[in-house]
Amino acid sequence: VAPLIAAQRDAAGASAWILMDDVAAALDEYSRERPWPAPEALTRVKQVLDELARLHAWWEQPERRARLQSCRWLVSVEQFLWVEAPAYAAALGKTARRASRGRRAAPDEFGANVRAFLDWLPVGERPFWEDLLCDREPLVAAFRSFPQTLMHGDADDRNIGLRWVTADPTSAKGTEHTPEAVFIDWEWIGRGPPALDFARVWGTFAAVCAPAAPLPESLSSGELLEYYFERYTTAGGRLTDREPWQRSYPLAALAAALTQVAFFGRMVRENVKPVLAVLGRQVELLTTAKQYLA
Amino acid sequence: MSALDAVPAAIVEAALRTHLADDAAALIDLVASPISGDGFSGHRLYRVRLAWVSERQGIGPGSADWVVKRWLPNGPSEALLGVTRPLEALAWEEASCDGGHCRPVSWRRSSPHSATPPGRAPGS
Repeated sequence: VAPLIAAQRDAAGASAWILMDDVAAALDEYSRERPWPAPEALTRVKQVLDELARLHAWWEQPERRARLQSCRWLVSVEQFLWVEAPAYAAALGKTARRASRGRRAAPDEFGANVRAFLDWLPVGERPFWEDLLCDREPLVAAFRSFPQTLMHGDADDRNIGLRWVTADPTSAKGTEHTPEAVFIDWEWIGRGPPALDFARVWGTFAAVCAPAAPLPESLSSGELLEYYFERYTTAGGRLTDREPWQRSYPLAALAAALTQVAFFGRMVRENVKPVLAVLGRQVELLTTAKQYLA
Repeated sequence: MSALDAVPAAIVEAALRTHLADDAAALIDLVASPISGDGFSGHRLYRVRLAWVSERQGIGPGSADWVVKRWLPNGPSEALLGVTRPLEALAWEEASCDGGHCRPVSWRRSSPHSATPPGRAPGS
């Protein structure tokens, strides 16, 4: 659900007013500001993935694909995949293969964080990351074979909420409360493989887990991957074979991680051990994407 | 500029009329306050409380809490993704152009049946 009420562009079309329901209470139910113990956090992330899987599958139906293709203004998969590449190139003293619009010079702090992350990686992994930070063409090529759908584009926990709605009392479900995910901030609405949205949810799931409690195993296992895929296929998603899904996910997780490298570097510099523990496990998974790159 | 000046009543009233499907609905109160931090996208956000009257049958007077976003170009989305247009507004227009029969997103009103979630007491 997107809680929009109305939107109005100015006469020139370059700016707009966006009006939406106040869903602050729902946002609070899936939030890093009020993290949950692992079992409850896991239940909630699955509720989010339910809705995301249905959205993705719905937009992959033949009658809707043409409509999606006609919306030329949607953010393209190339735009998503090239995020921050020029800034990384500047920070690493390399030439960007793709110019950015309006990108300021990378501040020293940004460069120091990027360097810290690269230095934290095993020596053998560094060239792979350094190259990909600046040149996303291998990722773009790897994603060309996957079906595209409507993407939220920024499915960070801060843009996701949960609320409980009461089914129609006259329905078979009676007064049962059912969860409903709310997605706000569709400024990056785009067209791309569903794995990119999934990876963003999965990548920020740790933030909604209580830091004092043990983190859920599902952060480093394939549980959520399987869960989403089962829901997506049940809802009629085009990617029906498990193998391509399992191939697209590490690629998407890698794409998502590439946008977070400066943050990772800051965690390294500040020696934030819980984050580094999760990051260490995720980097292992991300390196499996290597085999799928051209 | 006060928050109320920053959120034009005409914009809110026009949205209200569309929302209620009543061209004669009128705002009778509007209170706006900036949301600190403006979210994470760099655009100004305001929380507005509005009240209205409508003579349309089944609607009548009412009130609601909305959030209003002012999307301006040259923001972080442009620097990161090259997005130079307000895509949420474009998606909304796309959804509206055919009466909402083929919507890019299932834009939907808040449910009037919001319930207390399991695991937390009301208002906790």
